[in-house]
Amino acid sequence: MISTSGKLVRLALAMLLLSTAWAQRRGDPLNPLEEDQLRDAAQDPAERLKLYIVFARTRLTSLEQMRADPKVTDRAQQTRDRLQNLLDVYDELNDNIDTFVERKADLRKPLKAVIEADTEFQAKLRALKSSVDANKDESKQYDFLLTNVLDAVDGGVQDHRQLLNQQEEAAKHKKK
Amino acid sequence: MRLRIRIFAVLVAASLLASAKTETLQELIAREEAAKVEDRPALCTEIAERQLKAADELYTAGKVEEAQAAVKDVVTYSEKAHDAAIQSGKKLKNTEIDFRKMAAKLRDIKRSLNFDDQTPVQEAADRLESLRTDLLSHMFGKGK
Repeated sequence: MISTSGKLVRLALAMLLLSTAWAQRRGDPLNPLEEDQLRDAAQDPAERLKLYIVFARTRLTSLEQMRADPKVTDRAQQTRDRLQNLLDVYDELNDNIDTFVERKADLRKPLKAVIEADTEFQAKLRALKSSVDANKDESKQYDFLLTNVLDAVDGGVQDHRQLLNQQEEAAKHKKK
Repeated sequence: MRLRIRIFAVLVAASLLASAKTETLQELIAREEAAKVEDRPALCTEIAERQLKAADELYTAGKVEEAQAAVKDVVTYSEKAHDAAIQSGKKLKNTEIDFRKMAAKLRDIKRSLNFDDQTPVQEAADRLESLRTDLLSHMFGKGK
């Protein structure tokens, strides 16, 4: 039989552990479930990059949904937070591509999916940019960030296409 | 004559490229220490990036203590890059982008580690994010 004070101590300990864990996670753009999924796909470039595409797409969709919701009051702040989260995930996608290139992995197939996603993200971000340009007061808070995300995706599309071409060329030479 | 100048220019460029490629970390650090303040952001960032790559390799090799020392260097040289960028008012945007990418790499490294080894890496990523935010404030005139 556990006394009431014992339960309180346990509860306090659990809260302390949770807050410590949260403090350690505060700078991470991914949630624990996403982290687990990545861990399971640690050695598989195709699977890992596919996951990053899903994570980035989820963030972009959530941004669009939030902006379409008339009940949202702090739209500028939420737009900013979600754009930052999207940019963090996109940077990690690129970082993973670099790592797999260093390991000389064959990325031809996953890169095609990445480029397809890049094009989709580009179109959605450009649409967002056009729509927010009409509301300068609100967009002041996140305009720079939105430009950064667009720059990152624009640069990403070029880099990914170039890398795909290089890998396809290399594969052709290998076959000969 | 023109052809000679061109050949000379190509040779100089090639030798500069070769020396840049083979420059050791110690040589790079020595160059950074002697550099003008406006050249320091790029040099310090390069040192930080090299140490970040080294940290990744050391963690993979199971050399945790050495890896943690390399992570400390990442933060130290990022701080130097930040200070030099603010002092000189140059390369603020490039430095900010480099910090963003290094923070992403640190988070990725962190996820591959045991829970006990994650804290210093997350702290380093947080520190880079905070330096980055500060650079942004300066870029928009709030930090002046």
